[in-house]
Amino acid sequence: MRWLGVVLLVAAGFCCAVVLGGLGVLSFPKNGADSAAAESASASADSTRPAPNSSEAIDDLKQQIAAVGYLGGYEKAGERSGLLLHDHANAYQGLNFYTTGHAPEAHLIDMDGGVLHSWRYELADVWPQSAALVDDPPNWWRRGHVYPNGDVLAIFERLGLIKLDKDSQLLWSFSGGCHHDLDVTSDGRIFVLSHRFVEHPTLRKGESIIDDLITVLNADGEELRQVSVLNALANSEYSGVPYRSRAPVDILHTNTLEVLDGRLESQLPAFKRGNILVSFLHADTIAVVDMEAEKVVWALSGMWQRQHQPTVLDNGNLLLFDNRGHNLRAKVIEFDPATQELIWSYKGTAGSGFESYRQGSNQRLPNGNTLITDSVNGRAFEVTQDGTIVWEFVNPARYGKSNELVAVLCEMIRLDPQFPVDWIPPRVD
Amino acid sequence: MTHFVSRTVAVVLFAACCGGAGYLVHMYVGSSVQPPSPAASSSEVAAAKSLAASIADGTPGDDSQDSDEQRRLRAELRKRFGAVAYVGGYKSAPAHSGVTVHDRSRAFQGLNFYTAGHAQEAYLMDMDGQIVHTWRRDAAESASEQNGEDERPQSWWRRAYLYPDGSLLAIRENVSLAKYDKHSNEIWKLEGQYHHDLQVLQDGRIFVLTKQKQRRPYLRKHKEADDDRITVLDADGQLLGEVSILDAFENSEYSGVPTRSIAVTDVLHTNTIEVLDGRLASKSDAFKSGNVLISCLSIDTIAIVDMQQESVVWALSGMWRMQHQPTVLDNGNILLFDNRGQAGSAKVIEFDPFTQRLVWSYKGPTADGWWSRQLGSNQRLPNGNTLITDSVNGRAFEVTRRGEMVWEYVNPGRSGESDEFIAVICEMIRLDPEFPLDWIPGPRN
Repeated sequence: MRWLGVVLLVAAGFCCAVVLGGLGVLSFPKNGADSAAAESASASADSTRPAPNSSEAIDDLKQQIAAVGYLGGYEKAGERSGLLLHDHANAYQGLNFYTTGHAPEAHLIDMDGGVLHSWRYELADVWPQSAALVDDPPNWWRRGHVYPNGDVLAIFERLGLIKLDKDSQLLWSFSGGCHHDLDVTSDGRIFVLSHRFVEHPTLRKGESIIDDLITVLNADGEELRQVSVLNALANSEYSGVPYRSRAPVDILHTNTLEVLDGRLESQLPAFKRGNILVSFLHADTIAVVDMEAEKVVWALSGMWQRQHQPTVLDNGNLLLFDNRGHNLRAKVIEFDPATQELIWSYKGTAGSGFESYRQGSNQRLPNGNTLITDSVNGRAFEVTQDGTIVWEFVNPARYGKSNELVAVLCEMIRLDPQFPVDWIPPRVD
Repeated sequence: MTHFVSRTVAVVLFAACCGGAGYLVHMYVGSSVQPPSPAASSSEVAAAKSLAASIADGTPGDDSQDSDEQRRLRAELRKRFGAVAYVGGYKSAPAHSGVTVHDRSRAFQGLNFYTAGHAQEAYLMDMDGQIVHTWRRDAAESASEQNGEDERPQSWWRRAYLYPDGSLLAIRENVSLAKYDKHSNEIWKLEGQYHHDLQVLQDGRIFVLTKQKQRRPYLRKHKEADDDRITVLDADGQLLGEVSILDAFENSEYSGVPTRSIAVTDVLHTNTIEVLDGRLASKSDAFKSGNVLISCLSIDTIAIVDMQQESVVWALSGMWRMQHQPTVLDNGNILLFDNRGQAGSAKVIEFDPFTQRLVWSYKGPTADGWWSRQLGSNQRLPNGNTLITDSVNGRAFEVTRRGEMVWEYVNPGRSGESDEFIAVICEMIRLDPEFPLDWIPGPRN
């Protein structure tokens, strides 16, 4: 009766499995298993900050660091780096200020790539707790701003904002989860993107999502006010915009902001002075936020995908870096925000777009040229109206296990030729 | 053990194995939706049908604001009815029907022309609800086609166009485009995937939406995508040309827009067309005469197609979701029926297409939100009022600029297995008072 014994054994095995499964001692993966356990202490929509050093606060920090999601470099470094091309006659002369993805540094270089001044400040020196929490903390500056006296502001992505003097001495720090971009107004106020985690009644029900915030600080780094982008959308005619996003947590991924000076106000009332032009990467949408009414008053999408850096030009057009809207490749476009007429574009040397899938920036120069930051390739280049490259610089810094990758160039800005340089200490060679 | 006992034990243990195995399979595969049995109660079917509101041609729909129960029922409905496009009615029939409100001094007087979800018919009706003329597809022909089971989307006219001589064009969704004379005699019929909307120009050309399944790997790796087309026919229905809307997007600065769509195959779901007359051309080339303003529901976008360049030259989204019927008004603003952009509820809005300034809106009679998820239309009347077709609620109504209702018509037509639903009104149009009526035969045909 050997067959009976075998059947009994097998049956007993199944019965055990059933009983133990039912009792929850063994657990079987369900279809559509829930995602990796989120050790989240998510802030409520009311956003009461957890007590510092509480386990909640530490979890928050971990979540913020985890949300960074950038590498210091992606592409194999080429043969050449530093200044590659400088057409003296056609390039717009001025100093260049840039931040890099591999280190907490900023550099001021001249048109020939010579470094005039550098700043550096380690994450571990300003926020040691954050730096200690994970193995590879985001110890680099996403964006910087240089003042006429050599002070700089720098964003540690998703963690905070610091101000240094020209000698890289820390003047103050603000740890509100700042990220991506900042703008400084003529009265000294600082507008910076920050974020919090919230639970939303209808977006990703039951999960914590990121709500980007437009935070305003005074010149000393003290918070003046904060506007929630999700609330600004919900309170507006554009409440449907976040629902387009397929991102599970970082619904909008707001990546730039620009304080409007009102030059377009007479044509487009939404662009009134003091309103903020923002870019939502994950909704392929740019929008304007009215900070007093706390609502979105204008939004546009269509000609771009995964964009960065919309900016209002002197001529009233918008310039924008479109990462993937040209058959999944990049282009830089200038268009009329009222009619959407395409005024100018740069679509790479062959017109079929160029590959620049993350970050990226653009700046229109007074001579009509455009300075383009092609971040993932670590390069910045200046093109004329007809697309000729007249200046090109590749980040000499490296990243990766064997320094085989070119470090990301977060943003290159050409400074006004009148920018004061008397504060620059003499070079010690 | 005795032989008998051992065999019983074996059988019992075998049964236990099967149960256990079944349990394990259930755990691994996940709970599956059980379709209602054939003898499902009418209330179950009614509940399932009432959720057809979030299905449009097989799209998963936007369920972000629905409960888990609604999502489950929607999946059930999809299983049971397949990718059904529309049903003829969604809401329980109300007590009163016909003209329920008529403020004679403020409503814009004129005849009303409409099609509805309860029959392959079109009606010309006066402001008091009296039917002045009816067109209907031959009853015998219709009956022989119907199989008596679930309503099929083609058992009504999605849209109709009335000629000054009383003849009309009628679209049976994805079945045919036909021309009938004033006595409902068929003049010609084209079978094919004609859908949603049409327009007839002064020169007699007919612009109509059609579609065709096509492989577009950059949009849908493994399935064919529905390629909506703007098809142009002459007055006799002869094909003059057509433009693929997917090609028009691909061949433009807006090539990324269709890639946003989460619909399974109906990636655009183009639902209206309007041939522009050029009144806005001085402000923007995109609005030049002959270009076509379209509404693509699946991508929450309205756009303009240049028919010569076969390219999209303008597109807008943001203030609306799953919209219908953008139309350029005399004043240069656009009027549009926004089905779900008001936190899941509907609104009708008038806005400046260049500044996006919201000029006027109607957001429903109460602050609770206005549920009008499918179909829908709007028309600005010469007196400044707006005629709104609230399709899924089977009604059309006229509001003043201040939102006061001065005319309302509730469809007496019924739908559903036991006529328990109010039939949708596909579109109600108020005719120009100058519209010729001399062709109307004597007392009702």
